[in-house]
Amino acid sequence: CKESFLEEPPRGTFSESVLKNRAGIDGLLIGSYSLLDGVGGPSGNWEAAGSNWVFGNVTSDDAYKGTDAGDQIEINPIERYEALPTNGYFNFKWRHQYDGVSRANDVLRLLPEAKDIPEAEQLQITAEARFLRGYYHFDAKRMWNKVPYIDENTVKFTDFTTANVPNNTDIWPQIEEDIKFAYDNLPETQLQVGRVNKWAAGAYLGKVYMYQRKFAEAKQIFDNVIANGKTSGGKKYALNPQYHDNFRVTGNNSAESVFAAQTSVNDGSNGTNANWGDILNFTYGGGPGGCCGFHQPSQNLVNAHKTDATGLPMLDTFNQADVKSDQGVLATQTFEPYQGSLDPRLDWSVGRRGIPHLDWGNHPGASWIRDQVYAGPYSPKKNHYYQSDLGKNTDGSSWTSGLTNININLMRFADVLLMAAEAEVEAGSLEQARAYVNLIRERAKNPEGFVKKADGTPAANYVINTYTAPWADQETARKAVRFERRLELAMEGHRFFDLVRWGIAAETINAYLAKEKTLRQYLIGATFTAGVDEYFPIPEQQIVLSTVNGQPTLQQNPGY
Amino acid sequence: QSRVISGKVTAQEDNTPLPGVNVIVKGTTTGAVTDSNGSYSVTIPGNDVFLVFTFIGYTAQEVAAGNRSSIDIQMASDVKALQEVVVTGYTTQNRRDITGAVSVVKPQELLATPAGNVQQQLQGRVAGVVTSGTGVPGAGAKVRVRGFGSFGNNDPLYIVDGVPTYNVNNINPQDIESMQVLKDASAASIYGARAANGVVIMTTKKGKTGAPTVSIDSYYGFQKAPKGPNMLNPTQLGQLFWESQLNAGQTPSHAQYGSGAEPRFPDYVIAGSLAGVMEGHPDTDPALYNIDYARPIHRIVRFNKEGTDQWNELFRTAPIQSHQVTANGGTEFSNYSVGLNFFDQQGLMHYTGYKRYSLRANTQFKVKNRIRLGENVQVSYNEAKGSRSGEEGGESLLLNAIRIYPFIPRNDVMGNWAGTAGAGAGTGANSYADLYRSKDDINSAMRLFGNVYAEVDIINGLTARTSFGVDYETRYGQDYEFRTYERAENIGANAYTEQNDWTRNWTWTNTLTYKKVFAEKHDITLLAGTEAVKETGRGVSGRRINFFSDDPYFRVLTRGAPVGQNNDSYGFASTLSSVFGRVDYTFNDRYIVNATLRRDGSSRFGSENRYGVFPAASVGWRISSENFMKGVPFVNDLKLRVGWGQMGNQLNVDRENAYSFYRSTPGNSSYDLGGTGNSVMMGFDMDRIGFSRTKWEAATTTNLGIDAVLFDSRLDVALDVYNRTTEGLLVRAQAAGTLGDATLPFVNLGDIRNRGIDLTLGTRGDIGGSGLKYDVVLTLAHYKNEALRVGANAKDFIQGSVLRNVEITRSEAGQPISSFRGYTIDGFYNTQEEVDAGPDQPQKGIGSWRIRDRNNDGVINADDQSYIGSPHPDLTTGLNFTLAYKGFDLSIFLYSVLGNEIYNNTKWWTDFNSFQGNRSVRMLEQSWRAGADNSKAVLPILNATDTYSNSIANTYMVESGSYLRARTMQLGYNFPKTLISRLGMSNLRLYVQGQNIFTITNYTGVDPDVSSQSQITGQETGMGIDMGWYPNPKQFLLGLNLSF
Repeated sequence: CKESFLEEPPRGTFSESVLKNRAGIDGLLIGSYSLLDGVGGPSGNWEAAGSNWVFGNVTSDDAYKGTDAGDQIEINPIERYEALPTNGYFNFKWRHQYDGVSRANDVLRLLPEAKDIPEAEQLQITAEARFLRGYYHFDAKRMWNKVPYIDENTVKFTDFTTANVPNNTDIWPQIEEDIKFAYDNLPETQLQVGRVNKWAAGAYLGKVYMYQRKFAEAKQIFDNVIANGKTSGGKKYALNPQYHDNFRVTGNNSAESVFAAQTSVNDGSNGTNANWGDILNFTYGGGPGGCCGFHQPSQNLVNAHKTDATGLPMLDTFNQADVKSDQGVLATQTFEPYQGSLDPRLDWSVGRRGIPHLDWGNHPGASWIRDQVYAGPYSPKKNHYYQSDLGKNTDGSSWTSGLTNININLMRFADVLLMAAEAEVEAGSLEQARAYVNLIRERAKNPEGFVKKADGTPAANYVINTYTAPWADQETARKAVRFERRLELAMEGHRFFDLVRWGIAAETINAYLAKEKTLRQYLIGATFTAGVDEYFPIPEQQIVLSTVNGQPTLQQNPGY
Repeated sequence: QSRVISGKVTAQEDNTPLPGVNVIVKGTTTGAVTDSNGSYSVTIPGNDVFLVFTFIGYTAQEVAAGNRSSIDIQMASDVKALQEVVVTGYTTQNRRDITGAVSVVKPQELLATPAGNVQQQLQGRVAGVVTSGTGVPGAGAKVRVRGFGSFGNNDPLYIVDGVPTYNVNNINPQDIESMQVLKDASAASIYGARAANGVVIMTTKKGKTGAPTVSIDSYYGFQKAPKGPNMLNPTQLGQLFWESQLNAGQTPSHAQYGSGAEPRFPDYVIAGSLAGVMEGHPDTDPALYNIDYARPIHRIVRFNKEGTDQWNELFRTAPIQSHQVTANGGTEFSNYSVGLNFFDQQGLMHYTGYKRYSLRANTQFKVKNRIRLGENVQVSYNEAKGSRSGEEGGESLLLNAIRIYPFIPRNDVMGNWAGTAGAGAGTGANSYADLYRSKDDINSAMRLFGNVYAEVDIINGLTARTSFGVDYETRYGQDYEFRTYERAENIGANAYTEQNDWTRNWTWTNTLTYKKVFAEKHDITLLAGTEAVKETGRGVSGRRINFFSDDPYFRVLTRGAPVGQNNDSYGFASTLSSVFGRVDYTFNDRYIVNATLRRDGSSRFGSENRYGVFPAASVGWRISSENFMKGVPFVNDLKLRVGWGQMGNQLNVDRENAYSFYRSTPGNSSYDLGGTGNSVMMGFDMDRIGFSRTKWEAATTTNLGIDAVLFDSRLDVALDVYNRTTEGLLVRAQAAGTLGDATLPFVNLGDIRNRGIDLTLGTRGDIGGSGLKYDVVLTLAHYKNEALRVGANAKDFIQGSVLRNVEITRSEAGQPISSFRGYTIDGFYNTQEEVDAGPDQPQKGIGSWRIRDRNNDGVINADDQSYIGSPHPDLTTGLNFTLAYKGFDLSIFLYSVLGNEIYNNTKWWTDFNSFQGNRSVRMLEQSWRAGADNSKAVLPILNATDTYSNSIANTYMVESGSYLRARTMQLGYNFPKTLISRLGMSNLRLYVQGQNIFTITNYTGVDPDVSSQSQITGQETGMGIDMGWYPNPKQFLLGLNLSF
């Protein structure tokens, strides 16, 4: 028998050498972008969702796990701050982030070997790949704090132990360096709107500064982004006229979209390029998606939308009385929604009974809720699509109807403005901060953008106004800016990370739990432990896998 | 000078003529064979010669010719001989000379268990072979020889007429003439890289010299499902809801049961979109009813207050039948065996079933005495109806039927499907509806399996053989999914998937065999051979959605919407190239030596470890032939065997293991960079990292065996003790997540050991000469499995089954593979004092489980887990008992498994606040209750917010899996020959049979025969979990054997 008889290479695959050219490198770069939505890497479904709904919202005072007690039971201990390092959600998220890093590194590793790419283009590819590498590291950093940094020279595929990098040094400098490189070298506009540009990199550089409390550096870069920034498609950064424009297909890649995970439907991927990470977060038993009732807003978040007679939020007293809900009211019984004054953004962030749910008719209450006794009466709304989009902007090729091409907002211009406001507060320029906040509130108060009944009248008693008087002091300003950030970015995956960043996670969350457990009995006994629960446990499996010569390379976070 | 001598050979016991006896002039090649009358004639060179008469199963005789012209001989049957010739590795051996661990299975034993395939029939028949199966029509069973020597696939290799395969599902069991199971290396090692899991050798029926005979074997019968779990009725369910919510401090309320002090029944589960509706509500008006998707759906489903027996909705009494016609005959120069079979097993679940048509044609030709040509071929076509009956787990038909609420009827008010739509109506699907909808899903396969061969006797004793085997199978599958309106989680678009694939394997084997007896005492067989195997396959599938009509005749892909279409294809190939040799030597019928050596090259391995060498040797000592044993009259035959050898396993290494490559897939690596919303730019990501030094899993076995025939051949004993250590187990390499997500190669990182005992006892006789004959065979097998190493680090483990985020099984050094791991429950916290004094345990309260704080650190956490059970039995036993009296025969076959545990994960669905769904009576009656007698309590206090109890693997879920099952019971009657010969028949037998008539077990699940089923097919590290399998049916059959 000839030796060649025993050579049977795999069919339908590419060897590395085939990719060392312009098209191959760009393909690898596309592969790195494709993990921004949190799906398509290490075989998870929603654990690493680009929207961060579990780690950013369920862990905060904004949302519950939702649905019923038995579904996705691994989220239960996460919501109760009892999660163990063995919890699979953390492992999926970890692997996903580092798969993103690894894909960006593949680009950077093979790029020098591709000989047909002009130098300018090489620089741009490098900048995009480094931005992505920085982005994936950034998301890991704020999850776990103690995380390793991996660059294109770290891993040798002939020796897997090269991937065991300690997590005992702070990687903010490397993240900063990657994103700054992108900011310095990327063009202002791009051929494809999904590519990161100079301004998106700049906004992220500012965000990275904010996480490090480098407010002066942050302010400087936000000033530039706000003054000169434009989208990759060339639109000058601006707030969309109506708040809800950001959460519908027609708002994809709008002037407010600084950076987004692009989603697509009916593209041959069986829906996995749609917003797969949020497929559980639709109404149950009817309405958009029809499954599975997760990510239900908290009563606390709803209460936060109460406004006083002047149309301002009730910063200190909002949670003293509840916005009336249909909790305990059967769908066959009648219900009149709350008549008090409310911020209009509530009804774009939260689905509640008696309020028009996009074009699906009024939210019918319990009929759309999987287990109201367990998880309350509210539905999420920002990821929901219009009935008129069904088929065109949804994908029917998988088990759920909740597959949409509403982009996942990773950074909105509103986010930039509110971070800039924070930086101004810290710099003592309270009036500039108020101006930024009022830009946000001006847009929110546009009556064109209110949820309306069929007869064209507002669906609830919306009362909202700008801050007309200067803030008394820095503390008041700080509270107002932070509160505005909660309202504006509600249910968008930021809240928990913001609370930790501000250093007020323990007090805020424990106060939340104290009241919320009277409504959600499953929260009885849950406590947020300061100094521990700000960061999630390093996945046990990763610690085990980091073993070299009998010793783990990765260290666990304190308290786990 | 030469002359002719003739005569007749008869059997001593009954004087009947013996055809086929070899008559040889001693020391020459001259000879003859007796004809059908037992007559022979042979030319002898002179008077001073001996004639040697030999015939299998009879004692050879030597007779001096002298001047006689006629010699009649009576031959005595060789009582001590198990003179059967059996087919083993590439050759045949006298059964009595076998020195390895080889079990011979009689085809009639297999056929005593009517089933669609051989694997199911093997259960309990061979000591050391553990088989478990399900009731899925036509499905194979899991067969494991002597424990588990790999973390991956442990399927044995089947050799059918010399052609290797791992799939004997559609080989017709009625065609099998002989079966041998090669259990240790000295027997199996000649199959080298594929032998480590044991080798099952089968030959199919060959033609026999003589007038054509035609036989018909038929049976027809019914199958019934076992009893289902004891679930709550609608009234009990309401009690459970109220108690659970009150205990949680909630105000009881339920979308169906209302919000009063006591639960109440509504009249409708759903009307329009409203749940729990009372009679008289406007939405219950049938005029509003609509399930046409073009308009808003308006369902109207009544609340079944009496309760629907959901288990009985799923199952039916289903027929099973098999009809076989075999024609057999031949002359001195050619013979044939042709068999035609129709097998039809309807499913226990409605609208499911399996049918197979198979045709076998085996022929053999002799050309010029020295050359033999032949072929064995089976063509089969089978189809399975209903695409989903084999599912397991939470969304399976079986578990959906268990957990759907009892108040949901099968149909709505208009006779269409009812389901879980409506708040408080649970999740999951109406299984009967799903079955009905998949009734036109046909999965079919067409298979051509067989070989052609030629044998040439080059010189006396030296035979060259070449065989070319082909296994070609093509499969076709259809799966239509309906859009649904009746479920809580509806499917929004109909979809149709159609797929086709083929595999084409060929095996070309060439051997040279030399058999010779020197100086009467030295019996030598030498074998040398080469073999080349190539397997190739390709598959293609397509899927479209949004079909305009659900009509079955409309189902072609082109009728679906062009948007969202999906297609896929794949291909693979692998090769194996081998040389092998074998020596068998027997000295004076006393000392037996056997040695084999094989070298395999495989395309699955990288260039650095592409070849493996597998040696084996064994010796046997026939003690009973020694002179000192002549005085021990009760010993008819006694043989001691010792064998050692090495075998390989390459099943668990992917074909692409040695290669690194990238992929381009829409889902994993593509992205809508352009922001179009409906298209992607193709990208790449790393798919696999290859490793060129991976090599075979190498199993080394030592086997010590004794074969004895005692007490006038009334007792047969075969005892084997073995140690099988597999080194370099293929384990998927692990790397930190920081490496990326490319699939890592298999590397040789584990060791595992199986030690065990196989014992077979057989006795037969005639009770007091009364004509009442009995035959009893008992097989006993024990093995102990232990993982010795599972990775580069001592503490490494392989995570097996993780179900709904609960890790259940682990494989770790020092434990058997797939051991259950979890928390130990030590009763309950009965008082607040106990609660306060106990360790910190999540959601702890009065009535909670008391979880053992194993490390006494005052906190219940992952460190308090331990191994809480093993799926490996201590003993498996088969007892076959046959009685015959005159024309009647009765056989009873009992099978038992002792000492294993089952992780009954169906309880996760029925005994806790898992997904909304019906609960067991056990949960209502045996949960801890304040102020009650809790001595029978097994579950924590009912509490609607308890999300902890079902989030941990624990001892409550582990149950004894021991059982004893009456596998088959058969009563037959043979009609007297005198009667039937007038009708031209030579044999007529009728029988009635019951299968799985009773099972004695403490297991609370539906069927304990799940113990070695695996969660993931072929992955042993997750086995032993009951996820709601399709249970084995009880069968009642009427059968007929008839021949002309």
